[in-house]
Amino acid sequence: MPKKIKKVAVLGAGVMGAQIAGHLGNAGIPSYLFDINKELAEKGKNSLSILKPAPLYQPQNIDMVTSCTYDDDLEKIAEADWVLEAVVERLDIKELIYQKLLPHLKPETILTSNTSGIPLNDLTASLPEDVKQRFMITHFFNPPRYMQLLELVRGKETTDETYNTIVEFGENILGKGIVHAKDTPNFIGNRIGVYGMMTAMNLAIEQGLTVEEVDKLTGPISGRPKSATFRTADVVGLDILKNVSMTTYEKAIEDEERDIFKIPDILNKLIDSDRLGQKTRAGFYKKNEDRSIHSVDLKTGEYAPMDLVRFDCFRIAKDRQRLSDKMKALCFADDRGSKYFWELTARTLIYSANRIPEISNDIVNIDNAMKWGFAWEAGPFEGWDALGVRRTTKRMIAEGKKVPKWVLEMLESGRETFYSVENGQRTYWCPSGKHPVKIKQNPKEFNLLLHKTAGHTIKRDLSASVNDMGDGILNVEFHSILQPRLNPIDSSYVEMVNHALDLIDEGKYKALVLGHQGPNFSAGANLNLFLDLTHNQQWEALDFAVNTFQKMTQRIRFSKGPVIAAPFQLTLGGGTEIIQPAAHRVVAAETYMGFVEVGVGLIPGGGGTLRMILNALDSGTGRMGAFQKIQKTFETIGFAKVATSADEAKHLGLLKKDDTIILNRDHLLQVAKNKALEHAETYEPPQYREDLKLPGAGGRTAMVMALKGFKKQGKISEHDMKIGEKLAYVLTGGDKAGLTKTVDEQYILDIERETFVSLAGEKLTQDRIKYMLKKGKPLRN
Amino acid sequence: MSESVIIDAVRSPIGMKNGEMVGIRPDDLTAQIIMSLFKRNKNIDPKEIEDLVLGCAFPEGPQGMLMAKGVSILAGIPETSGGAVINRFCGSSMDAVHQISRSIEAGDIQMGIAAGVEDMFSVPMGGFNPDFHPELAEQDYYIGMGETAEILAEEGNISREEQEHFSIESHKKALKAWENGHFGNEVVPIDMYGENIIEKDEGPRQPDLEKIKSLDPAFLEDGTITAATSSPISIGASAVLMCSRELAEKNDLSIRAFIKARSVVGVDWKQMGKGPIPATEKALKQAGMSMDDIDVIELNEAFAAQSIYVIENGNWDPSKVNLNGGALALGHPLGCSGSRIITTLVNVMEQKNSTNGIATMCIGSGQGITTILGRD
Repeated sequence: MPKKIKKVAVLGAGVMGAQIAGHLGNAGIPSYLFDINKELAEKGKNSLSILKPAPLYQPQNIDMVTSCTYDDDLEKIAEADWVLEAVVERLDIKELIYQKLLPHLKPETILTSNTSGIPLNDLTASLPEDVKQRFMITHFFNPPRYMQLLELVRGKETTDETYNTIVEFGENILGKGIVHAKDTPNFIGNRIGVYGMMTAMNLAIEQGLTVEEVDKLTGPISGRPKSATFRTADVVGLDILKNVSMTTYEKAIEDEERDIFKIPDILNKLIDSDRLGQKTRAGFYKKNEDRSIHSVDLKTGEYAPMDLVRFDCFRIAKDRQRLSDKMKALCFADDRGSKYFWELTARTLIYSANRIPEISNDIVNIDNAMKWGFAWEAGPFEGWDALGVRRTTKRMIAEGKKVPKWVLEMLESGRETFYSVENGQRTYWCPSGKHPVKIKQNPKEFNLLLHKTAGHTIKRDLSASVNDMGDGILNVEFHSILQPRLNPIDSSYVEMVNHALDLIDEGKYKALVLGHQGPNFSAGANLNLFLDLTHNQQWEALDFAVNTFQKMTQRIRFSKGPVIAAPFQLTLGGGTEIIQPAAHRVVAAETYMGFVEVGVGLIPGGGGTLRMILNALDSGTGRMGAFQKIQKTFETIGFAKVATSADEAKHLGLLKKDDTIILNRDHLLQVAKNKALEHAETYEPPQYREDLKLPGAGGRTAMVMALKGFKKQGKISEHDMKIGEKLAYVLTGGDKAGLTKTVDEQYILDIERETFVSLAGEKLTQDRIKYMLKKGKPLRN
Repeated sequence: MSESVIIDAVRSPIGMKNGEMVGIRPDDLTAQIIMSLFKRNKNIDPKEIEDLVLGCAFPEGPQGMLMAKGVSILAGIPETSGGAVINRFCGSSMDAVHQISRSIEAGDIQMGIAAGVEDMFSVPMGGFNPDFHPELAEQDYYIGMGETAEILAEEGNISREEQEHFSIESHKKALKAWENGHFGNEVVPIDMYGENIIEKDEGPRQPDLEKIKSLDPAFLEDGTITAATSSPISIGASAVLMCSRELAEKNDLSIRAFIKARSVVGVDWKQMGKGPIPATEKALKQAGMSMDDIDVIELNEAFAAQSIYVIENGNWDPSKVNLNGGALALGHPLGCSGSRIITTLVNVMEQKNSTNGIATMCIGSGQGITTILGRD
């Protein structure tokens, strides 16, 4: 039985310790944050409100952290159910701290280290037997709020109870993806990740590629983060990168690629001249006074303006939508970019395969570590599957590369991929057993992809599908055909939602879950569509399209069975308008939500303005009058505020106070399904509101006064002013509302839609839309 | 007709944004000020207070529910006393002094307290639920105060540098007044619910020239007025104890000053800062006096530009104005400021041993208000 962790002591208020304490606070867990003196402990704690990206979901979470010192507060250790050590990476210091706290440790408290390089056996050498049973390594990745990976390493003596307690807590409370690692140098993530970076660096020097060329190839185009290779190194810190690399070099004596971990001259040169990356404003990249960015010449160590990068392989890959097609394009072209990318990829794949069983017995933990810890879209083995295992091994062999035996064995057995999915069951190839093994499905995770392969799709359209989740619950899944990453809303989606709602109204299903497992819930409406309609001056068609969307949102609101929405990551504009009318929302903690319409010269037109009014009027108790509530809403929409967490979205009135927030995104659909079942039992659709008391013309005049002030101060443009006035018109209830008059939902929807269409007819708005589509950022006009 | 006299006058320190005074309820704050009047004047029995008139510019929320009577109860004044809240925006508590003075002169009451308070942090300027008349909006009735001062700056050709100089002088004078103990008999300490005691104004400070020069215009993109030349948002309370000359003489109460004249006037609301000029002319005329008879002036410094405009266009002697600094340094808690500058004027007149003094202020919505005090 896993134990309950209610309070945690974090030792070491450095970058990791402080941020881990902060994330515990995000999860509602109070912690004691220790350091050698009050100044350092306080400094660590205070860093939580300064660091970027923000370690906290909302500023007040800092109150969950109490700063402590080893001299004054050691007795507080006795209150902790988990003591997590994150002090400097020196065995003697870690041992000293352990000895200090041992007398205060409760007999059932778990002790773990966040070490990334010191072997577990060395750490436990000086610990009493009973503490060894409660000791393990918990390795978080920086920044701990955002990196999903938590690598766990157990020792020989670690009890199952200890290990499972941390697994449960890490997964359910902290929302982490658990990777089971072994006690090997740098565990899984850093072993393979740093191999990739060092190989990228060495190959670049060898083949004469520039820093920016490498980052172009190893960034989002190949399913890696925007910071790619060299920018990531700068962010991590070149000194730290060197340390991690040297750990592998020194400790992984048997590693066939050991020499790759030697530090190349250029890296030493940069470190020796105190060019450590972002923290010193210079590393592989240098930020100049005038904000321009130069890159380093890998041969000379001198900085120069960046060259425009052009690769044929990149150009082809850019036009592909799916990652597998992009990677194929990058690997199988014949320019120097492709030559480099293929070499880097092939080596990384072979290296990863050779690490079994050294660092992991299976491929799943390796893939998970790279996805969760290094933000790779696909792990090495998933990537290899995408490229085609047979095709690539052939090429590797032809080039004289040594393909690991077990990979060839798999191909010989007739199996073409490491992973395979059939009838809702996912399998992976087990190198030691030489046969496929079933992946045990976590009951907390509802895997939509697997579920669909088992034939549970009721209707499939271009960008959305209706799926049967079982137990009478429907799902509408979003999979935009044009932009699967951002999922902009199109008519296909609206059609599928309406189809699902038909099925519920007919009594065939109990409830509906709006959610999926793509990269983002939805970044909003399809701007291209608007632009086409405005370009051809098809105002009626535009009005019709917006009206259709509005009607769908009202259907969601008044559906006979409950609709549960499950947003995550980007949920903007129209995406927010879809989730707001649902009966309840199950929201991933990492959700970035807001109305960004003003940025493109519009206001929310698909029911978003009505929904914000309803949320505002229903929120809070007493003190705020209608004017203040509406004014707050006016600012949220008018300044296009985007919440940087689900908690903040509640604060901004984008979500309702009783919406469910969960930290583990992989649990989202299952929790949503459970909520759907729960709500379905006694569900009554909400009452249509005819009693909306809004400030009316008097309040609007006051708001417009404030706008005029902004205009006179030069803070907003003429067009901003126009949009603001129109937004105020809708929010204050148009011509019909006032302190003694009420309006109904449809009236707000009508004036919201009219306003939207009229703004779409403005040239300056159209300019904003065009600019956004072209440059990806708002135009100020 | 009876004459109305001032027996005593006090004020709280004035607190600034993020300062230590933020958090005290405005009614509690005012009650403390009134209780300190009784503490200083042991020979006065609270039951002699027949009425309390309290000025407040946004009497809602914690300043609502007829705060004056609530304050009266909190301050231990017997239930037999009345209480009224008066709103004339920035002139509210000067109007409170006028009302008590009039009641005494009419013989309606013998003794009363005129007070003023504003907590600009718990009640926003504009109130919680503004509801503007479209036609008045059309006529710019709701014009921002900063903009009205910009209009005066332009009309009077008052440069940003002049304004900054004026503001810096205000701070310097206030700092010096504290240093020399000139606020000693004026400011009473405030108890923050047992947590700490606040004794000094939070506004006056040594000017940071570089910062002052670097500020963006606060109201107009190409304007001349900045945060450094506008009176800061603040919290404060003040109270004036008044009675008839007969009562004072009968009970052997020493008279610190007496009311010589009162006036209010209206002006163009888009240039509301002009108000003190016609208001003062009117008051002087009523008292049969001229500016030459006046020794000292307390002019409420809403904005540096507005103050400079009034001094220049009224042909006032700048050396007579705001000897202990003004609202630019101390802060301008709207409803508090009228009785605050009267309190300051009483003290300045004593310090300068002067006979005649003026307190005057401009009022948002387009008004001016003036009080002339005399000393025996």
